[in-house]
Amino acid sequence: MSLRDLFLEARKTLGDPGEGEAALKRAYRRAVLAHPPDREPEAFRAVRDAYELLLDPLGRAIELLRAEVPFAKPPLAPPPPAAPGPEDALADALLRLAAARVDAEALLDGPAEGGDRDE
Amino acid sequence: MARRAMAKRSRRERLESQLDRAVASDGLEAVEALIERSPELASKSCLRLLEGPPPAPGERHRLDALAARLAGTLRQAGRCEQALRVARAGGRRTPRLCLEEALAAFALGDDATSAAAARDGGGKVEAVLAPLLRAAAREPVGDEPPAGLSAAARDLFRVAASCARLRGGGGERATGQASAGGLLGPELSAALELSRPPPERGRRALEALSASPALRASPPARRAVAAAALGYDLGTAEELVRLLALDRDSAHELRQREGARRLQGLAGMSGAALAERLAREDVSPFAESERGAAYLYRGFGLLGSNPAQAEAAYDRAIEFGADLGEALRGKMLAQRKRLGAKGPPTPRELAALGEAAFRLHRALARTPGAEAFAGAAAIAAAEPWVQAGDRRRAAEALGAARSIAQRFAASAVATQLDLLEAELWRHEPARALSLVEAALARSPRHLGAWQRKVELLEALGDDERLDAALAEGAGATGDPGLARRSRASRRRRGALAPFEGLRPGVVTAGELADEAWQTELSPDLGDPTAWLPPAAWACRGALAAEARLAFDVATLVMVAARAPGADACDRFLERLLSAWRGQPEALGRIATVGLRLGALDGYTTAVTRLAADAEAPAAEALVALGEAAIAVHDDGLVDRVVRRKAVSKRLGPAGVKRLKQLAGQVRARGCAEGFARRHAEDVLDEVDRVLSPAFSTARLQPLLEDDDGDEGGSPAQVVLEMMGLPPARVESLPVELQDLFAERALRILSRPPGPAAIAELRALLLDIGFRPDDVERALRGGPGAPKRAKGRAK
Repeated sequence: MSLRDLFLEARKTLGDPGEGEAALKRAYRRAVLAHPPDREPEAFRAVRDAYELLLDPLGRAIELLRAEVPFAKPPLAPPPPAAPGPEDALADALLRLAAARVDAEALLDGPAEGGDRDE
Repeated sequence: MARRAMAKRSRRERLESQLDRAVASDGLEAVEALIERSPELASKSCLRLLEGPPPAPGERHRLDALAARLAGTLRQAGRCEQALRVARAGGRRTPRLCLEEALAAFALGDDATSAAAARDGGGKVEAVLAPLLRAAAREPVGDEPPAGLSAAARDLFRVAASCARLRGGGGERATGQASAGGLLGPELSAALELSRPPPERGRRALEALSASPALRASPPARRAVAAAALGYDLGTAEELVRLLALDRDSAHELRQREGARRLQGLAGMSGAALAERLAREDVSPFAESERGAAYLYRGFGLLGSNPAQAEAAYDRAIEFGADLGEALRGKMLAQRKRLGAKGPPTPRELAALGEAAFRLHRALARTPGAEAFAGAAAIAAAEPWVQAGDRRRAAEALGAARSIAQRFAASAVATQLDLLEAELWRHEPARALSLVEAALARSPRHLGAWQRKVELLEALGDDERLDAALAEGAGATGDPGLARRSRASRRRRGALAPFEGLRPGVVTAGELADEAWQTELSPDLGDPTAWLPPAAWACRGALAAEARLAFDVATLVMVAARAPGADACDRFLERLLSAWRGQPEALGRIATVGLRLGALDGYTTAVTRLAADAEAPAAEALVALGEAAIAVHDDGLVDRVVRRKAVSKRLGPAGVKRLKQLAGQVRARGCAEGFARRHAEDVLDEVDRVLSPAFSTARLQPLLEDDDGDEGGSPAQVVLEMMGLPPARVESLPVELQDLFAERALRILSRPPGPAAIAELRALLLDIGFRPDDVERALRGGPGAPKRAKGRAK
């Protein structure tokens, strides 16, 4: 959302009121009835902010322009580190390393006598 | 350097030509001899032979065996690309060449080539490669190696089985597969330990891996270990980069991975919280399309703590295509934050801020639907330009803002613009005044506009219009400041009598004090009823107790300020203490301030009278007064007061004991249990809080300071100063002697004047080394009439 979008958003929140103060007030009353402060405080706050912005656009713009908070849409968090996971990558690296280091001549020797010599 | 490069190149060229000659004359023997010495050169020659015309049948067999041996040497030296090239050039003519090609391709991650070469190598080669390929493809490898394999192939099988289990998280079972003495045995064991709690175990395994020569020779393996260790939280990216000596690319990748992991926690955050978080994070792990917004948020997060860095972040946001309006707004706010960070804003800083704001205005003016913000930005640009006195730029910005304000019919903003423009023309008061008048016509209750009008009329010297403006402004705005100035102005012109128009119950203590301060001096300042007219006393009587006390203390300070050195302050204090005798707490406060102002006589007289007053709650009141004396460090005064029979009788033994104990403790330790020493400055602060904003005793402070500008000194120095003698004389004495002198001198000075006191004082001064004629000169002023130490009690 950009600065411009604040107005579009405000109009949307009040159900796109027509031109003029009377129309704005009517729309505000309707929105307050739809979102009463005691039951929907968050929605009501949005309605009130929208009304104040549209009632005195320049005055509110002066305040908002100096607000030290961003109005732009927040960035999407980066995707989680892609698969494979840590074990996967490590296993793969060790496999490749084994292939790189093994003595090929010994691989093609005859079968080991007496089974597994390491056991 | 160039010469060395040339020499190196020449040597290399020489070697190659030697080799060419050797290969041409001796053939395979020359290559064979080179394998150990220079595998790289050997591979070049071997490739030439392999790719050249087919050798004789007997020679071919030798060449294939040589190529396989060379490929193996290259592969085991970590030169898998070269190994693959040599093996592949052998055209898979022998199982050994197939095996070398399969192993080199597998080491490089080319599993398809590896599988094809293994297939072409026949059953034995295929059986050797199969477990590796299955493990790489995440297929089951099995627990036992098939029969008929060599010992080395069985070892390789175990590696594949262990890796397959490690990959599937089956580390527990895989442990049994890894053999300490076999191929990569220690590395596999350590890899399996990495993820096991407690973390110390993982860290030990990490250290073992980092020390492994096999891993140190393999950048991809080190990179994988680092990624795994990061995943298990065994260290930060920086620690792992150092430990595993990662190359630049791997280090960058690891840092990115770490950043991405941290940024996972940001999902769902927005606004200021996200901005604050991103101020501490590296935003490079964000996708490029999101990085602009990330830099934007980072900028807002840095705005409060580091505007310069925030500005840099906004620049990066623009580079990455973030919302331009927001980025320029951020840059403007950053400029604003930097403004005056090192003292008053400079014209250059103001110009830069105006420029940043106007750039934002131009960007927003081009954006449909952002007109109001464009107007606001124009005003933001006009303000610093006005302040800097840049009329041309300020007028441009004001013009832009005005046209937008007209479209929005925003009268409040139009008033603001009029006042800004009036400020721009402040050096031409008449022109500025017409703008202020226009603002007031639109907004008649605008305090700032009235204040500006008053300033301009003062500058024009138009007293008549100034008075009218003050009265009208005070009426329109109800501002106490304007009302006060209006009264003062009317009083000056004689249009208003002192206290006229002040209504009891409506006027505040501060306003009353302010009016009192502006009242002409009375012949008898010491008598409050003579000094202030009945109207003032009526107003005072209608004040609440706290406000009345504040007013009384303020008037005490006024008397001290208006009649320095006279005894009016003593008499005024005495009367005030008498008036408040029923309220010990108030008595304590008044006495603290009175003693601070040097009204010792008034204090002593009040204490004596109070002791004799049968109706007053004397004990509590006297304790409060005693505490006030202790609070201003006058223990001698407490002793003297307590020694008086009437006082000690009313105090009772308990009261006397309490005061003496208190005085002793405060003298010894500077504090006492259960006794909060209230300084006169604290009392005056409380008074000023009540009187604010109409009046403050602080503005009388300069009148209470010593004429000689003395800012302090030891008690002995103060005593000498009071007597008109040079205080530096006692500086050479030991501190104990200085204190003794001060104590004795003060005791003499606090007694009624007389020949005995003068004689004692003379002896004392001669004792500490003053010349007799200086002493006589000082004594001529009389010990009973020393220069009053205004503004302090000693």
